[in-house]
Amino acid sequence: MSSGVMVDPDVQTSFQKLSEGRKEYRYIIFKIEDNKVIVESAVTQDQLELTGDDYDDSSKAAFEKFAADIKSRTNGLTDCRYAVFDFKFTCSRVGAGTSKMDKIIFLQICPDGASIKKKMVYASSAAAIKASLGTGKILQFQVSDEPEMSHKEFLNKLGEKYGDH
Amino acid sequence: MSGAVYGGDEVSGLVFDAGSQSFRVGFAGEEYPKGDIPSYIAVQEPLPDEVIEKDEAMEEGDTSKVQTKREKNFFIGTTKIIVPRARTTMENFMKEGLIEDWDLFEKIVEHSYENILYSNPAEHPVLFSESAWNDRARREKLTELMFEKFQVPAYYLSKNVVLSCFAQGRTHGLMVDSGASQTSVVPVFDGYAITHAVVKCPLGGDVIADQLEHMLEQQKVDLVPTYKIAGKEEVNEGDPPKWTAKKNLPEVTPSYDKFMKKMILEDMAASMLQLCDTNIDMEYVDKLPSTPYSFPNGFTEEFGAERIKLPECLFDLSYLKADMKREGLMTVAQMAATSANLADIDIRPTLFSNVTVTGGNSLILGFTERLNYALATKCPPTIKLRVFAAPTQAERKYGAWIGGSILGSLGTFQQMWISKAEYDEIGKTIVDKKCP
Repeated sequence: MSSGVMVDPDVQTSFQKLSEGRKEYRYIIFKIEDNKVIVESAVTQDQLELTGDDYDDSSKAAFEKFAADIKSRTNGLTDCRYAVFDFKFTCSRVGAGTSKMDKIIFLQICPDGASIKKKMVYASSAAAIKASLGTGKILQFQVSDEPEMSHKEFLNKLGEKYGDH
Repeated sequence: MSGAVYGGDEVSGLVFDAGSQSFRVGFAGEEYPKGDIPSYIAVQEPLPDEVIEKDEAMEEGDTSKVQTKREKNFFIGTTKIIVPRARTTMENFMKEGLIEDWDLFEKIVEHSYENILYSNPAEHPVLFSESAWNDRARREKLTELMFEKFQVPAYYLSKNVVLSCFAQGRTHGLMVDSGASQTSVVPVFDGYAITHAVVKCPLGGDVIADQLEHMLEQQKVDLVPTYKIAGKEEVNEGDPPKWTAKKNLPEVTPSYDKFMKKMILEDMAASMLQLCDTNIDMEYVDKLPSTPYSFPNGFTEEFGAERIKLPECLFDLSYLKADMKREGLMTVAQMAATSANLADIDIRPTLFSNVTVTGGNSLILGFTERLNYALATKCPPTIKLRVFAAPTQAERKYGAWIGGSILGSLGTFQQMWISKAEYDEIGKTIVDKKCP
């Protein structure tokens, strides 16, 4: 069952710029406006103005900027958004030592503080945007409060999935 | 506020959500249902003499629903069904979350259109909710009924668990729905109910009411339903009540008496029951402050330890009263764990991290916390367990209806409805295609 909300073609083209080739974008935030999922903001690696290496801190600095951006756009987590983030991290694996990983995470951000109407619209339209991005390339997460939006939480989940602990 | 953005083209659909306790009806786009009609209908057997029947109906000032000529009378709605009547039994159109009695169901839908929504069925699209284990025959029958009998212009059928899940802003989750007749657990993933992993048990609000009744019997408390009481005087707590019985009562049926008693028991359950956060601990139980409850006949009694021991049966079957059948029953936590383990192993962590509690019976104080505790011992230690519940009582009780209301009001949802034209072309099997 889905809401019938359409996905703007820009969503797919922007996502390709994040997932393929030169990987221009680091993260993209999407929102629903006028019955369509549109790109709200697409941020490149340079715009983040980071000095350290992403693999050294497992994207901690980049993710914190991203989380702060989400927080301000959702007015302190009282609105919903979708977002994709290119998560670069290192983890240890049996037989492979430490390896550098690159995974794209898809976040469905429906905070508990958002209105029930917004939550319903975003949840029922999630299938449309995920189909447009291609579910094979992304790891899905749903976020409902601030602790779930922390860097540590995602690093743990990714570590569980790809690491050996 | 956001209505202007998403509901640009108002279609004014109707939303129907049927439960074993009540039938929720209302307009899509509204915050709460317009009507919450009891699923019990009072059915009066005809009297051989027509004239008397007519008089009786006039007295009650209810001319709309009364049919003469030795047909059964049907009374629908809280204020109508509580009136004591002779030869009248209370019948429920739902059984185990499914529509069982289609004639009664039709009556209740008619009643909703005429007396609650005041609207013409042919003018509004209708969104129905169904339980996850609804079968194909019933789905098609409902579709046929709505198009053929009520002539609706468009129709949609949606799983109630998916609606409540979406209303929480989630597309995945383990939906624990503790209702009146039963408790069910349904995993939802990517917006679809995983029907093969549904676990349900007849352990819900009705069992709690039974337990309460049993307790009152043991304590020799006489449970007098409101319809028998003409007047009462104030007495001190614990003193025998002083009340006068109503005269000229018609000879009511046992099912009516039981229904009226159950109403008091439900009120008692809602006002004083509470669950322990952990496995029941006698020390804690003894310290629990007692709460007075005033019965309709004026009798007031303090209840202490019982408040916490009674609902304990939801999580520990040994607290069920002695004569209750325990075979095939599972505690709420066992049901949740079993259901999650029936689902695919890859999605289990997601399910355990998004356990969502809905249903009227879950409103017992401490239900969510207790489920979290009991489930923690049953899920793998590496998994992060989280149990959620909607913040307000109304959202928890009407979660599925509210979800349907928002969905039905979306302008973009119009393309999802099954239209009359599509139904005419393909027939009732279209529901299997368009409403998975």
